[in-house]
Amino acid sequence: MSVDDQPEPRSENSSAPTETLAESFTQSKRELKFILGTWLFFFSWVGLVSYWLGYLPGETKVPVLFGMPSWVVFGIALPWLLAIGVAVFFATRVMKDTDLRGELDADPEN
Amino acid sequence: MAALVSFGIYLGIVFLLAGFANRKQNTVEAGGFMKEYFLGNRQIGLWAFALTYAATAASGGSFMGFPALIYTHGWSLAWWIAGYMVTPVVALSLFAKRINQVGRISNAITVPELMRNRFASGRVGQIATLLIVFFMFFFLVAQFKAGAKIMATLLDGVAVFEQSANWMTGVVSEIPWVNQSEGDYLLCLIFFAVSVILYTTFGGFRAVVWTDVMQGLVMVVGVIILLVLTLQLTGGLGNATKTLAEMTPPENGKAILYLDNPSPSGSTVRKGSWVNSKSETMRLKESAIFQPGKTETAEPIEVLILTTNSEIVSVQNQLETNVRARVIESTPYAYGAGQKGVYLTAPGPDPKKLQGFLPVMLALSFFVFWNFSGAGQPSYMVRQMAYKNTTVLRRSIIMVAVYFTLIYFPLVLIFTSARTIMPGMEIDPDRIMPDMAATVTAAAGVPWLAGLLVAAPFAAVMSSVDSFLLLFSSSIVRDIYQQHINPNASEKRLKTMTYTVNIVVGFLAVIAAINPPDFLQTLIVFASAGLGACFLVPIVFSLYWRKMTDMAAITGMISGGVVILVLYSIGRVVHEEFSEYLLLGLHPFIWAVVVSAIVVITVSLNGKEPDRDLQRKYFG
Repeated sequence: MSVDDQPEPRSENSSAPTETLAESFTQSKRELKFILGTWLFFFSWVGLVSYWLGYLPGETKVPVLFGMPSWVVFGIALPWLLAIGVAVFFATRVMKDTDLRGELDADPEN
Repeated sequence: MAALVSFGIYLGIVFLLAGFANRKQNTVEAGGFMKEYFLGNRQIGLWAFALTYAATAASGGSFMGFPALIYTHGWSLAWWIAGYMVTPVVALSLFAKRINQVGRISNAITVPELMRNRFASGRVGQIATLLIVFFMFFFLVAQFKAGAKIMATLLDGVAVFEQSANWMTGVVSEIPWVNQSEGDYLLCLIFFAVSVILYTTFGGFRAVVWTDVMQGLVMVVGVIILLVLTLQLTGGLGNATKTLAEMTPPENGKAILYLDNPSPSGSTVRKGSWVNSKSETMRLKESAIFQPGKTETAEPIEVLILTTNSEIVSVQNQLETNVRARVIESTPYAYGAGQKGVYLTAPGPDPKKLQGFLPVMLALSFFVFWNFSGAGQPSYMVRQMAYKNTTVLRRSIIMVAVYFTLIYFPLVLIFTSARTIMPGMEIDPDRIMPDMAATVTAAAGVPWLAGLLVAAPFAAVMSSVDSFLLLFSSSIVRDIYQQHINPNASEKRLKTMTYTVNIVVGFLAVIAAINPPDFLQTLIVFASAGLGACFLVPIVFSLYWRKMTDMAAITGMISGGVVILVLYSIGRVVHEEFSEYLLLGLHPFIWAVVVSAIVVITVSLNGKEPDRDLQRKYFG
């Protein structure tokens, strides 16, 4: 029997709670909803604000703020900064540590 | 010369890291070679995982093509690239936890193997392997060409390099087909390919990851230094934007050139020279050759005509004093001609497109594309299968979020400012990064620093190529040879096979890249969209939907790939060049994802429910 055929070792998550594969799958689905919601939120923000303030065919006077066109500040830079905050929130509050082998460790025949 | 020295140091470190990685391979227990070589034994930690992910994402395009686009089209590129703000939460996290978990449960080392085991179907694995090999080869060829072009651009003007390039041109001048390429390009292609193939083959996945870490750091440090020096030179972002607001796009044209004092032996005015006509200032897009004793060029020369007063004033001290021009043809930009403020707004000026560079639907498409096409790339999936634990994943999300912010947004600030410092770069926009590096470091009195800055794009393309090469060889060795040809192959045999395949695949890519098609960026986007279209939907559903069937996986992959091929074929016919067809203004990738999702759901719902044991194994 080669190493490739043997069950994987338990991942080294010191803080990972003991959970079943079903529980970890449910948690992953919860995280997936947050991820898709986040994408939709920022997609809408950037699309609407950039279109509203920045899509200016023929405009010769463009408002400038902090050295940038103001549409970039409100439509790109501001949501970008917020997105970093959301990434921190997601990584520390929403995504949970998981034992990546799930309940299979208890059943090495799997 | 600084570029040459920095390359020497840089490559030395790369090979040192490959050597360490190779020693690590020799310490793994018997039978563990494949998992160590292709997956780093699933023990990749925080810095390595975060930076290998980020460095692979930031390919040569980020440092050559993207700056060129910003320079040419202005602030609209901020919207074009904006999707990267959520990439760490979306592309990185969409299935990173599940794919790692399922990879461990199924003992999979490659993406096709993961799919085969998940559905207990050899056919699923075979189709996945074929699709990866097909699209990945385009990717490899395009990236090899990009690597060679970048290197040739960066070393342009270095005496040793130019002598070697001339020697190479002479060597290949009698070899049919090869002699159609320039000597400098061939020299760089060979050097670049040999370096990447050697360290990737020698060190495997771990070497690729470690070099990615170094390359990732080189990129971010390079960008930050370039930003500081650029803002110093322009007197701040506000000044640069104020100047940019007054600018109008140049015109493309043709001109006859005249010499005041013709040379009896003939003379040449080099590409990039500035000349005046009675009322215009222009830059040559190609070298102008004067035959012996002639006072004018035999053929019209392509030129770029400036239309902004501040730019015209800034180049007056660079004019060729012995040369005059007469414009015989000029073509204003299709969108934005004569319009002040056009560089500050969307859709941005464009020389060919009447609706501007970035129509709204295309801008929205890119917000989808960067995130979901990125998630669907097998080269990223392999990385997601390799991290050590979920703590590494969680911390990497934060690190990549900061990393992308430090790379992409500053690039927009730097290269919108570049327009106000360096006029006329439209004649060769891919040179903007190295030329900016040389200009701002010279102005700051630190020209030696240019070496570090120009290493950034080189690091970017190298860190992408090594990943693709390894993915390609893993598909052949693990998914074809070990699964179908020689399942009982010994460890030694697999090792020899792996090294051989790496070298052979690399060699074939070099052959194809000797005379590659011109549409480099289109080829990269095509391959990227193709892989994303084939794998995104089938992988997401296979990890999150227990009712998905093996037939749905097969049809989902094929339908995604077919949509991409069909829309690019239509584009080829409509645009008379290799190009995508934007059905209803949307990128083909979006249509491919929609079709693939419909196919996966429909086929699964109408098929036989998957085996209960299989469902329990992967979903609990």
